[in-house]
Amino acid sequence: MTSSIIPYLVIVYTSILSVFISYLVVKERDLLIATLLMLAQGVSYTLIYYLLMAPDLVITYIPVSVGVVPLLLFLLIKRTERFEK
Amino acid sequence: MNRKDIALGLSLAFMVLAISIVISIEGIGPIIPIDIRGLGASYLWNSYNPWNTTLTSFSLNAVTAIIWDYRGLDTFYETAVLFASIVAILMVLRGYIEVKGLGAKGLSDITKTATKIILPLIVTYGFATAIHGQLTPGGGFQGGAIAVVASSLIIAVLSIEYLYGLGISSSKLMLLRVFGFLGIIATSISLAIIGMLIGVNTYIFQNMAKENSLSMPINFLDTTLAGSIFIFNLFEFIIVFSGLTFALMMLTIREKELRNIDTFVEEYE
Amino acid sequence: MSEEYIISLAFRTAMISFIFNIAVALYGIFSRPSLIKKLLCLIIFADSINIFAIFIGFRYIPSLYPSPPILSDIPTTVKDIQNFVTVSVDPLPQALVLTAIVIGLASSMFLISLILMYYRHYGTTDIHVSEEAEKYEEDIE
Repeated sequence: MTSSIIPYLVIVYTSILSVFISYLVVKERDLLIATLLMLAQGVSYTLIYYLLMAPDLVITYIPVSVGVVPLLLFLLIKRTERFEK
Repeated sequence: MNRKDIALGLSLAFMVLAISIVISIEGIGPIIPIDIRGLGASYLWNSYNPWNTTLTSFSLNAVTAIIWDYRGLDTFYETAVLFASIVAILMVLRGYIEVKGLGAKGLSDITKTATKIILPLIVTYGFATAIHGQLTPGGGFQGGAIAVVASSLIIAVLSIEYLYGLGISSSKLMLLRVFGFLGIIATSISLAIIGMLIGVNTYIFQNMAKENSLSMPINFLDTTLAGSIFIFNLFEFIIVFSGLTFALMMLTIREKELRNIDTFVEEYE
Repeated sequence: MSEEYIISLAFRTAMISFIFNIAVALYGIFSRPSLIKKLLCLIIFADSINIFAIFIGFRYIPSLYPSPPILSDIPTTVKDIQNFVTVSVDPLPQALVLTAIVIGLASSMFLISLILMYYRHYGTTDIHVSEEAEKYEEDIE
């Protein structure tokens, strides 16, 4: 096995990790921790965009999904309810 | 677990199984092809091609050339969609007032000083990414999204009172946004108007010379400038930065400013 | 077990895992009662579909790794452009996904402000509780 299949193995590992994290997002009752887990899933998607050779998407997806949208969601959770059900 | 949840789970599992079977027997095409499609190959071939001056756009970055030159009308309407969402936020929260001098003053002094040192660096980095859109990965949205991180740091660490103290109010940001939008419209029809006055045949969104001799500037001393792509990227940076900062400011207004909304609705009806 | 077989198997696994992501996000939208949880799952759903579109534009070259769609030889000759067309990935899905990310951001911002006004009117973000309250109001009138 040559060392040129290492990027493909990293793609497989990151995709399976993102399925696990999104299952945890649906199951969690505390909405603050659910937002942090969604942020972690955004980071794993950014790694996949980098390995699929799309640099324009990396530098537009990081501020949108790790900077702006979780900040608005934190402000919304502070004003409404924090625990569901 | 009631019956609705079980039925939902079963139908979703059936959908996953069906799509997975179709993908793994290569029903929608080969999984990783060796040749890309003809349209993509022709965009790559013509995006920087000094020997074919009718179809080229002199931009080293193929994705930026597709966004602003070959499919420029899509991007124009996407900018309009962003504008519509900001107007919708303003309409839902109408009747607010801006009150100074209430609430907390931000985090501790150490955090405030460290943030004040970093803020100009972030805005400069965003602006540099925006104007190098035709040479490296970058462009209007990318630079604007990086610069919005600076204003969200201001709102989170220094409080929103700091923004009011700097003289930035929501109506000024709206004015900047409309100015950027008008700039994009003016650039896209400028060559058409000049062609109409002189008497040659020109197109809207025209970048390089087609069958006549009018074109946007090509080079700047020795690097390529790609004509209207540079000007579009500049205006798009202003648009994204001011629009998203405006939306952030709208959604952080405090209870005392919001209390005006219910009374406003009642006296209108 | 040639190299091409391993790479094709890896890509199949990655594509099927994104279909799983879409299914989990859809389950979250339909079966959780809180409005904010529905919004979180909607954002995950839109992002998974964008990743799937970029997967289609990739390519396989027998002993190299493909390169991003940016030409980097200045001054260029015709041979440079020919090499660029055989090594680079497809630029068209990347342009479409860029537009889709910005439009997703716009609709998420609008939905957040709508949820804020919903909470001010009904006092809760739980759809079962507010359904009961609305039926109670209709019975009184």
